[in-house]
Amino acid sequence: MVATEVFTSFIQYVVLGLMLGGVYALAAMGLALLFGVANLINFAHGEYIMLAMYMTYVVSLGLLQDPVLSPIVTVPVFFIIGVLTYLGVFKRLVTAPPLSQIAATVGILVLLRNLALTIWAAEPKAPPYTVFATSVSLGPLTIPLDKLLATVVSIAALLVLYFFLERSRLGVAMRAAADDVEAISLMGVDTGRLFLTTTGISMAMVGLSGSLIMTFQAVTPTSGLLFGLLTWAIVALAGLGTVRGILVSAIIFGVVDSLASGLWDPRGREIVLYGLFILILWVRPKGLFGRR
Amino acid sequence: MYGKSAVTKSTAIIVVAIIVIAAAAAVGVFTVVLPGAQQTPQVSEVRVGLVEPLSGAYAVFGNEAKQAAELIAEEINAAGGIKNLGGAKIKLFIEDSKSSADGARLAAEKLVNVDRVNVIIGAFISAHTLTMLDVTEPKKIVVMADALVDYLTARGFKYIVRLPPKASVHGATAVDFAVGVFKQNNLKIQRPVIVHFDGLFGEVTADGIYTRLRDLGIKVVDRIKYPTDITDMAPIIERIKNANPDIVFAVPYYADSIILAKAVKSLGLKVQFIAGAGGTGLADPETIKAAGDATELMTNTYSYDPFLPTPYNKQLVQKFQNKYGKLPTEAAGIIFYTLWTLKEALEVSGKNSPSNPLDGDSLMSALMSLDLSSGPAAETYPSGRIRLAPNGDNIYAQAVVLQVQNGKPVLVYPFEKATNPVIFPRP
Amino acid sequence: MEKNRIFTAIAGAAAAVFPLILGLNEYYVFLVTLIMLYTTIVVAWQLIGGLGGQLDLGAGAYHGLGAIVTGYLMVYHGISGWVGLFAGGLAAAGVAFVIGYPSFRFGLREVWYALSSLALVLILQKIFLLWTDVAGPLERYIPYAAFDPIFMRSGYKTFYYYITLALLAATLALVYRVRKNKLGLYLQSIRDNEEAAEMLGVDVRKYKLIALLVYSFIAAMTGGIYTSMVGFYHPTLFDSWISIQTVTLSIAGGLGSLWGPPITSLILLTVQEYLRITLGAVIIGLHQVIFGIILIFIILFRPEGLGPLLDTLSVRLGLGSKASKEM
Repeated sequence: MVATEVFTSFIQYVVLGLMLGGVYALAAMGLALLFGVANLINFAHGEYIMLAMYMTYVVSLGLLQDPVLSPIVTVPVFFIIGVLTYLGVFKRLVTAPPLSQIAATVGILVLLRNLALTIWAAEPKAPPYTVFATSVSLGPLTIPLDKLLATVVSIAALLVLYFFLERSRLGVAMRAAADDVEAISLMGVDTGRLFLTTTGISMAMVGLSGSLIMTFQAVTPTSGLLFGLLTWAIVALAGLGTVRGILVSAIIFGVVDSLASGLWDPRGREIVLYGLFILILWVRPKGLFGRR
Repeated sequence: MYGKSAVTKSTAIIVVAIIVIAAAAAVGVFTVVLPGAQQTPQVSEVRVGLVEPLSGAYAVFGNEAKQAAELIAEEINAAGGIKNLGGAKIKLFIEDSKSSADGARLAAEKLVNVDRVNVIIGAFISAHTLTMLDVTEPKKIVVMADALVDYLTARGFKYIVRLPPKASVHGATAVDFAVGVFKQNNLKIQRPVIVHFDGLFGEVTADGIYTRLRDLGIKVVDRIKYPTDITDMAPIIERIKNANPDIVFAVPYYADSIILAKAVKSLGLKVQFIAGAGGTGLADPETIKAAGDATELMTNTYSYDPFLPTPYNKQLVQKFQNKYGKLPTEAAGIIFYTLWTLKEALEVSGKNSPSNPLDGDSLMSALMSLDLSSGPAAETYPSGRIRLAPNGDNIYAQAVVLQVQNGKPVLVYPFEKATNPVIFPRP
Repeated sequence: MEKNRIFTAIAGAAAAVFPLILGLNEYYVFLVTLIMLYTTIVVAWQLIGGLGGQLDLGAGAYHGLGAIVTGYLMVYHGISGWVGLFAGGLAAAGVAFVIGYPSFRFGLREVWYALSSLALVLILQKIFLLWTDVAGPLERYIPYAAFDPIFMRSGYKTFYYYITLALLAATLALVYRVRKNKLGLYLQSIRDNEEAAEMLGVDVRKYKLIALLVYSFIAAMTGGIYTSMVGFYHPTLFDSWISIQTVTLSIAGGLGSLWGPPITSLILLTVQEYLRITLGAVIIGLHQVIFGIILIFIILFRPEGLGPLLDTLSVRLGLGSKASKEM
């Protein structure tokens, strides 16, 4: 291949990766929020994303046809799922030791994964075409519109979240909780309600990102594990904290993902992504230490 | 704990326990191990094991095979069973391989050691079938394989036969078909690309395609491998586009064929023709249903021709459609002629080896002696003739090609037998 | 104590002739051997999980690695499975070190080790799917031998039954000893209060690593035995389900108890197999859903697991004093 062709391919993969990064950021944000604010380790985060993807599939087949419309259903439904999960399980876990949180949410992971397997079987499921399933050419580059749309919506949602955290009272309370839960509860904030809302918002974002991912990818019962580890890795690199941190971290992972599967091998993708995670553990674990 | 009486008591407990355990062991040995050496005196039924993926990634195929097996077994039994065995009926023992090699092996273990079957049909997926042989060969249980990879009959296994055309034949058929189609339009294939999943079956079939092209002097521009469980084919389509082919040969399984078809459509891949090989995916009713019009005009090679105009086949296809609501293709078709061939072999074995007709060696020699050109087995086979070579393959193996036209599969090759002319090229 | 010995003696005798009780039926002996292999992993897990207090999800990775290494050596180099078991163990310990060393730094939250051990299962699977010289996407088959004890290969499952029995017994004995000796005490002090242990000068990272390396070595051996028994290997042997199963059974059995996890494991796995045989393909994944529910339930309502229940039971039967059970 000619040098310019190689270069164009490379840029193409980077562009695809940037778009992926935007979507991954939204997926990881819900996790970061829960972990940061409520100090809750949700090992099943990826499975919730998978559930959102399946819901998109079902909704598109039944009612809405175009998966692009599915957030109308998934976002509110997942907010409610978040509330229910909190009331049913997380409420007790918030005060439990980390190992119990991990073990219990692993239980949820298994439950959701196998429910998906039972209901939808092992083959990948994808919804009917979104109207965006075409691409535009930008010079030598091909930009798939479905991925572009997903990225734009994700970033918009992140912006909304950012302003929410900065400006609204609830948002400020959540940021304060991330710093020092005891202090705010001493100041009269109902931490139970705060965590409930946080879980709801976290899950709503999961719902949205699941729908967006389904516009360009298929879902299988193992998708949960992949997204779970990916979002946790993004949180690890970002070191908790800011929306911007998550976005940057997610973009790095998105670009690495795209380059690995494009230039090397689709299977190499996971090796590189999780290998990067382990590298972070070795080299830059600053965000990974507990509150001391 | 102190004193002689306590020591005697615990010793007594231990002694009693050991006697009980030894008795249990003796019972186990005498009732189960030893009698296994005796033969069943009277043949009242033929126990046929069926190992198919009924759950997991390949459940689509396994369930179709199961449906076909139940249909045929019922037909055979209703017509009086195996006459030369005193009207013995076929009894099916169906096990799920769970779409994994471990599962297939476990299923074979159960069928051989617990259900004590006389023959096993399975396991559709070549890699799984190989693991079964570890269990069946030592015990001389005949395996009638409905899996296509060449290895199965090339490794010196003694108790295996395989009626459908092997994977490399499928690959070669796809090439011959494609060359023929191009020739009909006064064109020659110059830039073929092969894309296949990286499992055993994908590799061997793709090798078949490659070898045939090479023998015809045609050079392959690119050969793309993808993981079986792929979910996003965009990079693959990208790579195909870069190769600028005039024809794409694809060897998918099932789920990946759906993703491939959809990706071709949504990413606007323009190529003159897309020809599948291997009988799984692209042009069968299930895939068409799942992928919608994305599969239009795609083709695939099959070990069974549902449009074969012999009287029995027409009647059977109608019956299958009435009962199960769909056209039988690869998985069902192979079972059709395999079970009927088994029936013929049992008749022969009953006559030639009346003292031990269900023994592995008797069955194998009966199978080898067959030369069928009439009867239900031959009437459902694409070439119409079944005769086994020493390694277990059918000498008269033939694959056909179906194309999706207006959402339905139709026969397009061999050209003489086609129900419809090929639609070429793609828009 | 005397009664404890009686119990062990009877259990041992029954285990020793169990294949005979099963009538040497290949299928049933196979199932029992499988159950015992997984139980061995559960017992070994007590070192890193029960005593070390880490939620290790790497069982699938270590087991798989042992299988691939042993299988590869047997297939491509004709090296005996016995050597393979050892080599597989070393490989697994090496890999465990790579993720354990950075994760066990004092103060690093537990979730990161849990995540990286789970990630390990996937990383290794993909590596071996790509590494076609050793494994790749095609299954590799070990040559058949009716009975070759030197090569460690046999068509008779009973052969593997006894190897597994030996490994299980040895692992039980090992865990029993560790609980009582210095290593066990250090681990528990770390588990109970890591800060205090660190301040008292206990090298937190070193002891966690020791527990991890021993556990991963044993888990790898179970993989090697498995692959020789089924006669082939493939990267799908790296299965996260094994990791989750191990954790669920260990927690259900009770993290502090010695007999809780293995007994729970034997019982639940047998029930699982029985359900799988009878319900079969009726409802796929049902038994795993049940496992998930069990896990959630136990953590929320009975975090001590079944261990204490079994301990109380054995105390009632007079098999030992309550004090010796407490850990």
